[in-house]
Amino acid sequence: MDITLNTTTIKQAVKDDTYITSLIDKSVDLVKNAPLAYNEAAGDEAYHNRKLDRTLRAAVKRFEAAVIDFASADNFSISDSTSGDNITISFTANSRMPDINAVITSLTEEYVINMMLYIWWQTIKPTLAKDYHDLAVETFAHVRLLLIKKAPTATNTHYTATTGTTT
Amino acid sequence: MTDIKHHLAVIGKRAQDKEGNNIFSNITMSTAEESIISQYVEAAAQDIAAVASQFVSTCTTQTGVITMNIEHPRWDNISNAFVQAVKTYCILYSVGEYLAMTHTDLAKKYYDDAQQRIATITSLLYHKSPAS
Repeated sequence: MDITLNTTTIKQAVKDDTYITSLIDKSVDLVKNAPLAYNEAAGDEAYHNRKLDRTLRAAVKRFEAAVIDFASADNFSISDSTSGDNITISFTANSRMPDINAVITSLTEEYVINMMLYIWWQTIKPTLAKDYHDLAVETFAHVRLLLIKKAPTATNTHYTATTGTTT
Repeated sequence: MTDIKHHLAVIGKRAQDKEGNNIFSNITMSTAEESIISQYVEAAAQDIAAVASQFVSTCTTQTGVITMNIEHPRWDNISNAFVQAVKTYCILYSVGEYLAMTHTDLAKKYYDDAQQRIATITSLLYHKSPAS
C-alpha cells in the first residue's frame, strides 16, 4: 500500500492553522500582542520552514511506527521516499485488506497535520498542543478502523474425499 | 531635517513663554545648532532598529543617510506605511529632544506622540499576511 502525501499542502495547512490562532491572540491586544502573534504564525522564515520540514518528517515516522502492526507478516517492513513535493509511505498490506487507499491517505494527511501542530505548540501553548495531540490520536483511531481484513474469498479448488485430487 | 525645522518654526511662532513673549528667536536654530539634529535623527533610527531587530539585516549611516534593510517574508504592501511611520517618529523624537533642552512642557507632547508612533510601527512591523 502506497500512501502519498503532498508536503506543500500539509505545510500550508499548518501555516493556516497557526495563523488563525495568532490572529485570535492578536485581536486581544493589537499592539501588545503583535510581536507574539507574528512569531506564533508558522512560515515563511527560513528557520520556520526548517522546523516545519523536521516536524513533518517526525510526524510521518510516528505514523509509520503506529501502522507497522498492520503490514503483512510475509513482508514486514515500512518505508518512505520523497519525490519533489510528495512523500510516499509504503508497506505491503495484508492481501485481504480492502481497497481503502484514498480514505487512508486523507486520514494520514490529517494525522500528520495534527501531529505537526502538536509539536509546533508543544513549548508555547501546552494546553493547545494537547488538543492537537488528542486530534491526532483520534484520527489515527479512524485509520485503525480502516485497517481490517475482508472475509476470505471462496476457493475454486475442491477436494474429493476419495482421491484427494482437484476437480 | 527640513520637516524638523518646519515643526520648530511653527512652535516658535505660536508658542509663548511664561511672560507671554513669542519664543521664535530661541526655538529656531542657527546652522551650527542644526548639526545636533542629525544626532537625534540617528538616535531615533537606532530606536527603530532595536524595535525591528528581528527583521533588520543591515543598518548603516553614510553622509546623512540612514539605511536599514528589513527582511520580512510576509508583509503585503504595507512597507510604505511603515517607512512613513518611521520618518514621522524620527521627526517627533528629534523635535522632542531639541525642545527638552529649553521647553520641557512642549517636549512632553512630542515624546508622547513619539511613543504612540512606536506602537504604530510595532503593529505594522509585526503584521504577517496570510500564508500564500
